[in-house]
Formats: sequence, C-alpha cells, structure tokens
Amino acid sequence: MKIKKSGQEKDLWTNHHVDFFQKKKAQEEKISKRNLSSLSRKSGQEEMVGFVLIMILVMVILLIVLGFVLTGKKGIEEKDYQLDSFLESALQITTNCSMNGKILTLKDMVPQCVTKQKCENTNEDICKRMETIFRGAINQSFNPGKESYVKSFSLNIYKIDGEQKETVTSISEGSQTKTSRVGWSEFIKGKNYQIYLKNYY
Amino acid sequence: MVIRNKFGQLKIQQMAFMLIAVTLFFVLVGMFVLVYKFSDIKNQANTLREQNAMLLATKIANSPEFSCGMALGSGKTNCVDADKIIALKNNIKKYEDFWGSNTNVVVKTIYPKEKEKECTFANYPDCNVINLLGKNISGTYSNFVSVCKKENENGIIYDKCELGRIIVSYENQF
Repeated sequence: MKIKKSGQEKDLWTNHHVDFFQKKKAQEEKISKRNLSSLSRKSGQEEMVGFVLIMILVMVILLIVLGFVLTGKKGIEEKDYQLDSFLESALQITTNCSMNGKILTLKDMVPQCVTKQKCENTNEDICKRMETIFRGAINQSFNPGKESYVKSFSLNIYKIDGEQKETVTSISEGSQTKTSRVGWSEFIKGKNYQIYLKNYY
Repeated sequence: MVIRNKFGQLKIQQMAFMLIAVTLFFVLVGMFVLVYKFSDIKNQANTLREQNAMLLATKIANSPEFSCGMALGSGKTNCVDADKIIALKNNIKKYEDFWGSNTNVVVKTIYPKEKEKECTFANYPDCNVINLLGKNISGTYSNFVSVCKKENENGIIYDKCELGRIIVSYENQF
C-alpha cells in the first residue's frame, strides 16, 4: 500500500536531510581546520628535532673518524742528538782486545766482528766482547728498565756494500714501546758501516 | 591573517637558531683541532730546548782548553783530553774571570764504571771525576763525550779513551 506524503511532509524530510548534511560538512571542516593548525604548530618542533638528529649523527661520525685516526697512528719516533753523541763517543772506547799488536777501539772491532775474528791477547770472540761493551755502556748511560725513564733499547750495526745492507750485530733489551728516540752514526773502515741506537720510553 | 604574518617571523627565528648552532659546532671543532696542534708545538719546543742545551755542552768540549786535538789522533769528535783538563784545573785561578764566577765544568767517566773519585793533581789518573772549579753544580747542561788520555802499559804509550759525560753549568751563554 503506497503512502502518499503530502507536500509539507516532503519539505520537512528534505529540510531535515539538508540540515544533517550541512551540519556534517561543517563538523568535518572544523576538524580539518583544527588538524591543520595543530600541524602548523608542530612543524617547527619537527624541524628542530630533525636538526638536532643531524647534529648528533655528524658528531658520532666525527668521533668514529677521530677514534680511527688516533688509534691507527704509528708510535712516535724522534731523532735524538744525545744518542748521536753517545754513539760517537762510545765508538772511541778503548777495549782490552788487541789485534796485530794494536789495541782496538770499539769502532775497530766492528769490521773484525764481520770476519768473526778473536782477540789475540784474550782469545775472546770479538763480536761477543763488542756486544758486552755496548751493553755495559748503554746500561751505565741510560739505565734502562721497567721502572726507569728509558724502558728498553735496541742497537743494530749494518755493513753497507753498495745497495746491500748486512746486519753485523743486533742487541736489544727489554720490551719495545710505541714511543722511541733514535740516534745513528756512520763510519768507514774499509766498508761503510751504520750503527743505530733506539731508546724506548 | 595574524597567523600568516607570524609565519615568516617563525621561519626567520628557526634559521637564526640553526645558524648559531652550526657556528658553535664549527667553533668547537676548530678549538679542538687547535689544542691538538699546539700540544705538538710544545713538544717540539721542548725537544729544541734540550738539543740547544746539549749543543752548548758540546761547544765547551770542542773548545781548545778541552778538546783532544792532534795529540790524541785527529778526526776524533766529542773528545776531551783529560790530561789537558787536569793541567787546566791546576791553573784554574788564571781562568776565573774567563768563564764567569757561576760557571763550572765537570768531566765524569761513565764506562767502565768505577767508584766515583774526584781527581786532584796528586791522584790523577787513578780517578774518574774532574771538577774544574771544585764547586757543586746546579742548572746543568750535559752531553756524552769520549774522555781520552795517554796511558803507559809495559812501556808502551797508547791513547786510552773511555765513555764520559761533560756537565756544564753557567749563568751567561758563551
């Protein structure tokens, strides 16, 4: 059974629906405006947070790079004029070893050590005697030790023959550290010889 | 309208804060780098000062009153003639004004190691410390030298050299 609505009823229904939709639209507009304004209030804060994050990231990267640079750095080795003077003075030490009627100095012993000679008067191996004298001189001069300023040392003597470098003797005592000072001396006794003394601190 | 007017000011404020923060950051980094660089300069300055002190002691050792010369073989560097020094010690009053009243030189034998014994004209060469002016030293400059003298063994005269140290103290530079 069809119910016919009168004209008035139709108008009321239409108006009711229009009001409803208008109210809904107004509500939606109100919500979107509120969202927009809160967003614009928070955009400054977001930018600041982003900036701080970038700063923290850059600092962390810098710290990592700095860590690699500092730990990867090789130990410090400086030239020491005092060690040069020590070597030049020590090489002139007169020993109790003689060869061909001549009393040898420490410098004279180096080429004799290369040819594995023995002292004529004491029959002692020249290389061993030379090492003993060097050790004694270094210990008396620098007093190396764990509780000392100089922790350890290493002494190397080389014979230079053209481009070839031959080790004549190598003396060391104690454990090496990263910080060291080095002195060297060169002399000619038939061939070229180089002597290096490194003190570790 | 009011909100739109203040939007530009907000942006300018943000930019200003960012610029201040970036500047502060780079200033901190720059300060850190400078501190690191200057610490190395201090070490270099100390090393140079040490080297200069040793060079001054070497200068004295190479002066005619102390150096070895031809008598103990030419070509010897860092060498002092102990015989010359003990003779100088005997005539040191003539040299009082030469080096200044606060100057003193001590030559000590380090190796071979023996008990320290100060040299006089009477006990030389059975001694190992030659104190030129007989004073105590303070504020010293020292370096390694070779202490050489003429020795007589079984009628054979030879040059005997030992490892030593020359210690110098003085008020004014030479």
